[in-house]
Amino acid sequence: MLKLLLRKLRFLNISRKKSSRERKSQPSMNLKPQYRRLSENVESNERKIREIFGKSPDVTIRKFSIGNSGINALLVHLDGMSDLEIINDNILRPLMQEDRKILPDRKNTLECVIRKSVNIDEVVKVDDMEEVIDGILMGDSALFIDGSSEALILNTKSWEHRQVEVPQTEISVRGPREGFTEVLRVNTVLLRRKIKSPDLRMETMKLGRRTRTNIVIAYIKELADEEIVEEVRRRLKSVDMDAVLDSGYLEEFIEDNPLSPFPTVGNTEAPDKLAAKLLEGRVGIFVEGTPFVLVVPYLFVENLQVREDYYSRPYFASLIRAIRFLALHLTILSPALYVAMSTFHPAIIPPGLLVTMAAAHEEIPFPSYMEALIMGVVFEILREAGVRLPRPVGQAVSIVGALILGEAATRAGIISDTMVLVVTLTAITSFVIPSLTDVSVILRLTALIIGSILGIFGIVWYYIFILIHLASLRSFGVPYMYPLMPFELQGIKDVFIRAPWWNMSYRPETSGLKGGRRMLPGLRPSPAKNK
Amino acid sequence: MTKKVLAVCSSILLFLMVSSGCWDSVELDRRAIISAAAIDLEDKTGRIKVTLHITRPNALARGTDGGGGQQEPVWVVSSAGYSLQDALKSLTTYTGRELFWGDNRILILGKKAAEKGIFPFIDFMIRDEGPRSRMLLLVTEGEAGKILTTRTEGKLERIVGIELERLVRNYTSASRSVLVDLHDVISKFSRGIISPVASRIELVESKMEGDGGEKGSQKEIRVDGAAVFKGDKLAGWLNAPETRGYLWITGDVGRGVILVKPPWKGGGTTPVNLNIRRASGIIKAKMKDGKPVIVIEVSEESELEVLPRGADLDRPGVIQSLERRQATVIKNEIKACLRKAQQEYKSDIFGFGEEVRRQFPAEWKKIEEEWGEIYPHLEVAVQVRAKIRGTGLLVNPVHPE
Repeated sequence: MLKLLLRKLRFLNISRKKSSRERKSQPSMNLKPQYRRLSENVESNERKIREIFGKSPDVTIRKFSIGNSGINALLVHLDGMSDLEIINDNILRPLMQEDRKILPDRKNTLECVIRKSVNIDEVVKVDDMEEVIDGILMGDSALFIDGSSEALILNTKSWEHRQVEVPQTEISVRGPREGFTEVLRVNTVLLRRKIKSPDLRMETMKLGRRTRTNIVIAYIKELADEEIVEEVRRRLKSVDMDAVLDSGYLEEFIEDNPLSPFPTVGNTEAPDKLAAKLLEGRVGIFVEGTPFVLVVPYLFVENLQVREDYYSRPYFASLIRAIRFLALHLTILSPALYVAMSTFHPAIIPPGLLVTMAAAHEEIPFPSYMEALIMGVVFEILREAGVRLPRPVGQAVSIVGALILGEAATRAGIISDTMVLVVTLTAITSFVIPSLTDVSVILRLTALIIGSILGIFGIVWYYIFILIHLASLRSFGVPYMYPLMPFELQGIKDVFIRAPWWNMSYRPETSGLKGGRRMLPGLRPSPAKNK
Repeated sequence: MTKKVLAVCSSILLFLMVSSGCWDSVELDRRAIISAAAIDLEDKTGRIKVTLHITRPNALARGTDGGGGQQEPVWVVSSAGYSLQDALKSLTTYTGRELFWGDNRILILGKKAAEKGIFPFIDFMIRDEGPRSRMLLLVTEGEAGKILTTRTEGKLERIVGIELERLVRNYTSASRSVLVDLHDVISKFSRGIISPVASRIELVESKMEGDGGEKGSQKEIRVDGAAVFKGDKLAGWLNAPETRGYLWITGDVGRGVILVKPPWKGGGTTPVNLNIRRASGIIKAKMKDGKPVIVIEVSEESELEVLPRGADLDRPGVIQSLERRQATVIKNEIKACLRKAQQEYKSDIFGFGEEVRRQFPAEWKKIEEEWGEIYPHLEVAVQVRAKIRGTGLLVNPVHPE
């Protein structure tokens, strides 16, 4: 069984390497060669474009003459993706009406148009149809002019999109409210506004043969480890698939250990959180079309850190963090411990409590592990239903689930009161650490099964196995359990507690994280000394 | 290579887990939770009779349907056999549930059973993985089972076992009884030269007058005094002051009241109440002319609580004379206990022999054999340092002229 697993693992590894060797550097559209070359003739270009796009109604092709020179020109853009006002005012009007200066110079029309005519900030000259199509698909306009075998890509991008809103997944009471949107440019702007430094580098990349999704790798040059950045580039480039619709697609390709239930790639919706991570030497990966930005390397403790920890005062933040640790263990262990203690080791339960538990369990037809399993699964169903349904209906579901189902099940004598209590505790605690909710469900169910077969003894073994596994994990070469293992004093200030800011003067430092000072020493405030 | 090692390691771990795992899973509603146990020796047949309180969880549940109040909280069941094991096994003909000892905190021994020797019972309780060694040991002068059959529902706690445990554990508030669990007993047995004591429990008749003048009586359970063992056999009893004497020596006195006669004129018969605040006792062994001598050093602090009329604490020497009288009371209690233990029961319940062995190992080897003869005539010096530390919120009493 184990061997089989190992063999499978090895196979996966090999097949991965092979595919990366065969892969081409950048996915392309695979246009036929006869389409790729641009012609000097506008008509012929038009024909090609019509053939490439087929009969898509949103492709707008506008033929016109420049000024009164009689030179034919062609403007192509996608309706809805470009700003019509810009096209009309800044491209068509100067070209059709006000253009007298370019008339004499027929040979150099294109250059003249760029220099004198179109008032567009970003103009690129291209000679490959593939790039033209690319530009059109991005919302730019393509301008062909008779007699030139090149085309101009004019920046006219503008489309309907969601406004910057409060991030839904990372709500905090104190701290910035803005969250990433689906628009890549908006997202990079949100980040840029946080870090106004030329050291903040962004590199673009296109992934997905068909979706042609824009990817931006962001890092801070002085702070990020160049090897990690290179590794991110390498891993991203190896992703050769037809579609990248969300950063979740990429996450699974760039993980260090794809079979582990624990996430080794982080994601965030909050620009301030991303900025903080970049300032600790991490690398962000923006994916067009999703507000979730990936952050690597990702450490285990990051699951337990919340951005608000750093905005609220350290005592409270530390207390809450301790509670989060407690909640993590509770959500994984409570049903398993309950079953193991009540069936294997009732002697460790205080007498009064034992009698109460026994009374609750009298006349319940199921063994307690079945109870726990049933309630656990029912809870997951309820949660899923509550998430998927429209919000008003979702509330109804939670009321039905929490109140009526729980109450009715105990009344009917199918589930014991104490088990409902345990499952409720599990449910509430599982929401405390959203990034580990999916992991904790798996761990909880396995712990329950092991606990009901092997008792607390088994649970201890299980925990040891999990710990060994966690210790073996790495995220882009950084030990997953850092700073607990390898132990690092500077880093530990931000694990179980959140030390005051003036005390955390160093960045986390380990293999893959460069470290270094982030503030001057001795910033701890103190009363002014009398002379 | 490393993967092979990993595979081997994990299969070993897996094997360990499965082979040593606990397969004794029993659901709570398949267990009979024992809350108190009593062991007796039957007169005629010489069989061991064991009486158990088995908790009825249903009767205790804070149910909404009110089913709780009607049932008795425990089911009293008893059976007999030629050994404790035998008796317990025949209990399985009465109940379909598995006996669960883990919650049992009370073990009451009848006089006859205790006199015959408690070792076999203790051995079972310690050897079997079910019972816990924190179980309290009590001895009654009559029949132990009778206590459990008479009292099936506690007065304040519903479960008698829990009520009894709290009762015994509360010994510190008056220091009239001892707290002994099986672990203490077994550790004394293992040292061999020290004999255990146990709490003494009894049923007493308490008379009360009803509204209409009719007289009724009620059986009450009382834990007072101590049982003294010699080896594993019951040797006799200590009454309440003697028990406190024992506690002074072992240094286990908690709180309690010492009554002394007022040393001033006109104090009458009202005693001065002294409330014990702190106490400690040390046993030291010395050698005098090649013979072991024991020195007991007790130091105590108390607080004045009730002063009779005519007291004047401002007068010099009053407090000192109260302290002296207090020390005498303590000394007398200790002496009374020593007399009982040394001369009457000849049982070394204090660990004097242990102390001699620890201090003088070479000499101990010589006298070890005849310790039984030496012990009753052992010279014991008692030194008591008693202090009065406070007088409460008042100094002199306030009373009408």
